[in-house]
Amino acid sequence: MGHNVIESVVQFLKGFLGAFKKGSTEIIEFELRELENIFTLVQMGFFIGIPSPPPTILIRTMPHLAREIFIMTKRAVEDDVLSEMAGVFDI
Amino acid sequence: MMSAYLVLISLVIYIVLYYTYGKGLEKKVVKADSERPTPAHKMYDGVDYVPAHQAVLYGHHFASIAGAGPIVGPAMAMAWGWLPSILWIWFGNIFIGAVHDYLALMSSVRYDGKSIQWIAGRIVGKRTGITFPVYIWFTLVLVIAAFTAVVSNLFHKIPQAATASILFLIVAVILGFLMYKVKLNFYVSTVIGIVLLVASLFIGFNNPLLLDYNTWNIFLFVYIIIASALPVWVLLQPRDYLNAYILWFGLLTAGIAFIALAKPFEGPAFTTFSAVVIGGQPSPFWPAIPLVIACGALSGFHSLVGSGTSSKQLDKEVHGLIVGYGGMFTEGFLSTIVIVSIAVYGVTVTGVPAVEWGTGYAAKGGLSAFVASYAKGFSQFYGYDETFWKTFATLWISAFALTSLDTAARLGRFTWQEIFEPLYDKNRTLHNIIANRWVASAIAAALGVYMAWYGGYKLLWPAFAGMNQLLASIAMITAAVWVAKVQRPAKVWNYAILIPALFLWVTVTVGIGWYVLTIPIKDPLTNILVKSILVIGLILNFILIADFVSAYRKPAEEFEAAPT
Amino acid sequence: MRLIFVLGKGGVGKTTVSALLALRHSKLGKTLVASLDPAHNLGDVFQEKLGMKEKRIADNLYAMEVDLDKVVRDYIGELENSLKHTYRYLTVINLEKYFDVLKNYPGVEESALLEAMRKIIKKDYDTIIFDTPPTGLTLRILSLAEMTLIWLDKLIEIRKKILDRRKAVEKIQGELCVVIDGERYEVPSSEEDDAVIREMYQYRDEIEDFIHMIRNNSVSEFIAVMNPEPLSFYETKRIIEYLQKIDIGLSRVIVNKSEECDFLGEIEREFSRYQIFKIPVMKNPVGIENIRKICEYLGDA
Repeated sequence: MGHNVIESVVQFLKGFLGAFKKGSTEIIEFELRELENIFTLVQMGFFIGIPSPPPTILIRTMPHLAREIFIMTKRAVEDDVLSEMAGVFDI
Repeated sequence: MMSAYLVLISLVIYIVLYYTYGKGLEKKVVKADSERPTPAHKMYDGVDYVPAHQAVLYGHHFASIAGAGPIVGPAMAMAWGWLPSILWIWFGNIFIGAVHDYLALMSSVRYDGKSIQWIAGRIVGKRTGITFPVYIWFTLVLVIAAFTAVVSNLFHKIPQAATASILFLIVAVILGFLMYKVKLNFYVSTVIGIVLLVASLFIGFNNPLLLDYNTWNIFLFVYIIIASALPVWVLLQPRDYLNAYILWFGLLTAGIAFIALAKPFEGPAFTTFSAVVIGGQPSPFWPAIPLVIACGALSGFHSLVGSGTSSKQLDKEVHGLIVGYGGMFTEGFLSTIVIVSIAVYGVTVTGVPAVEWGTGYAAKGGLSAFVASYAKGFSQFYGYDETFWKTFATLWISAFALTSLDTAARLGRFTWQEIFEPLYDKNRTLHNIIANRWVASAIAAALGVYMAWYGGYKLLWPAFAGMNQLLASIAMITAAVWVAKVQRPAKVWNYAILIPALFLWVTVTVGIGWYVLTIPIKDPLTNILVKSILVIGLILNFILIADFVSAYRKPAEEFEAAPT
Repeated sequence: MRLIFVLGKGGVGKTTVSALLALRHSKLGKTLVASLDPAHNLGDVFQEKLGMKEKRIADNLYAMEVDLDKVVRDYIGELENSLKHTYRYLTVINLEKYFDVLKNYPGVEESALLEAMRKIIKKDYDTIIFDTPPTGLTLRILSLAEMTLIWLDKLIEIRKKILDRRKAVEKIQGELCVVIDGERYEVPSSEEDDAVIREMYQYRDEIEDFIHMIRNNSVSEFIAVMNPEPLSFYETKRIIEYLQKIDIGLSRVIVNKSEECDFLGEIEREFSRYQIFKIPVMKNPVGIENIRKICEYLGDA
């Protein structure tokens, strides 16, 4: 019984320290998603009729844009940037 | 003895209520099922839907919700005496605030990680979902106003901390460079960062930078513009990271100190119902208390944090309680420490005798009283110079406040228009993105700092808090509808959510109304700005209740339990 | 390799002049004349049926007619294929219905033709002569190259930032990945591993080469064909202006269907900087033999 408690306390502490590590790149990860979103959106802006680079670029890069397109479509659907940002706010 | 008692009692109360009321909420209201797959598993994508260890999530969630808020509010509320303040922090937290946080988190988990705003749009009414962004937009300026005022005031009163904070900015930049550019080992960089942080404290302690309040306003204005335009890895991220260490250190050492010191209280338990708190006016405890103690007891922003990131990373539904409910309790614990410290040393540091607190505390007390009390306690328990500990406490508060200022300015720029307007102008295409950036933050910053110039934080904080509580109102009402119509627990639990939600709504409405009608603001422009934002908030509040009533009338069958 | 671009208003005789030039150059080396003009007169001039495949007209002389519509359709087809290949990721965008409409989007024609031109330039000839599409389109194609470079530079900049952020995060949190519909995809964080940035660098190099080629006087020649009448005159002035804006210099002006008239004097004054050649009105400028005769008017082109 005692061993179990110690075990769970240790686990908790370990996880807890992990929180610091997690927070160390959180904002950068958010910015990264924004950059990926813009990067993809700019190339695909062609489809929604906004000034964008010639589609030739997209033809060549598209096969490799799995994550980027995924993030872009998620953004387009959810538009929940607000709550994502709130995690960053510290208010 | 009191300080020890109160801190220990708060711990006991929190722990007991966590395992009774909290578990009750978990089993009877949320009906948490550890077998039910959470969005982190159902929608796992390696990007933001990734399960996290519950302790990681707890620590992270708490660091995200903690800010300068749980400190500023209680420091001001002491004018009513420590007893009503602490009761609000305990019971407001337990029955409203932590419930709010927990339900916002869990409802989001049930709706595939969608935000509370989305859920509000779905189950309360489309209008309510739209009010969120409107609300945020107006609150931004108040955030900047209130926090600029807080920091300017602190830097002016404790010039050592001003130096330390500026040095801290540099430390953060260095850390950012090492950790994210040079990509030095994570642990090595962390140690370097913390060592430099401590060094800034000592250097600042020995080299105060004395400037007046308005000069600091200007400094902060420039800071906001520049900081929010920098890439996040330069300043915001590294400082945010170090802030977490400051937070836990400051909180845990204070808990230990005030228990071990076991000091009696000098401050009065209860002064008068309408003590002078806000804007130099007699402020009735009800409805004004949420306008003062916001974050320590209840904060609307938490609902966004909970449903923004935490819900997407919850490994098992049963972890939600420690993260959402427990996280908020921890914040309550922080506010308890604030109250206790001022109760112990407040009379000494402010020079206001206990009998005169009702009227005299507001002018002399507040944040500086907390900083001084905290420092005294640390000096007595851990030793070393009081001023040094004042520097630390102020650094703590300002570190979080500066982050809030930075992110508030940034939020204004994350809109679609920002991205596409410049791209439309094909010729000067992408150069314009920079131009827009400066302009957009400059406007928000200018308005906010202007209000801080004449306003002072004791005036502006309650206005910001009002908007914050309004957001909490929206989330709480949404939670009440979710519980009543989707979860459908036993009647008593229904009321357990509904009554606080309605109580909150009424309190916030009357409170904001009271503020708008009673509190005089000398500078006319500030007066108009602050009050119109609050009035807009009030209008939103009425829209909310109308939508709530119509949603509540609908039969439960009409409510979907999950997104289509 | 030499490139000759023949520009001019519709109807001035671009195609005839292109054919003339082609004939002349075929004496010096293997020559291709490619018509991008939707009017498709080249075949008529040579009295041959021409298509997308180069056809031998005479010794060292080949000709082709580029079907603009087909080029655009193929281009959009490539885009469509690209999308289909990645369709699994695109749960929201439902684009099939729109592909027909996309042909008409502003910018598509230019992009498609730019690529077609580049493809032609890669072919093995000593001289390639382009009978260009209507002036507006031609000028847009040429400035598109410049614009593409600007876009690519910006995109590369953003991509570098993305890779940099990814590296910083990876260093602390471990390898990044993304899981879509149960499938795991790698996420590159350095330029060596990133196919996207490599494609962009490569394309940038290709476009830059193209731009250098057309700006290089010893490789590319721009010729404006005009008739001795006002509209054509103003058009030619505009062509010169626009080419200057994109750093390209006109080499010569060819006045087709020219007759002695006062206007000629005006033309000679205005375009004195450039070599001017005059070709009189011909009765029957069709068929290789007849064309050969007109060649003399070109002097030593």
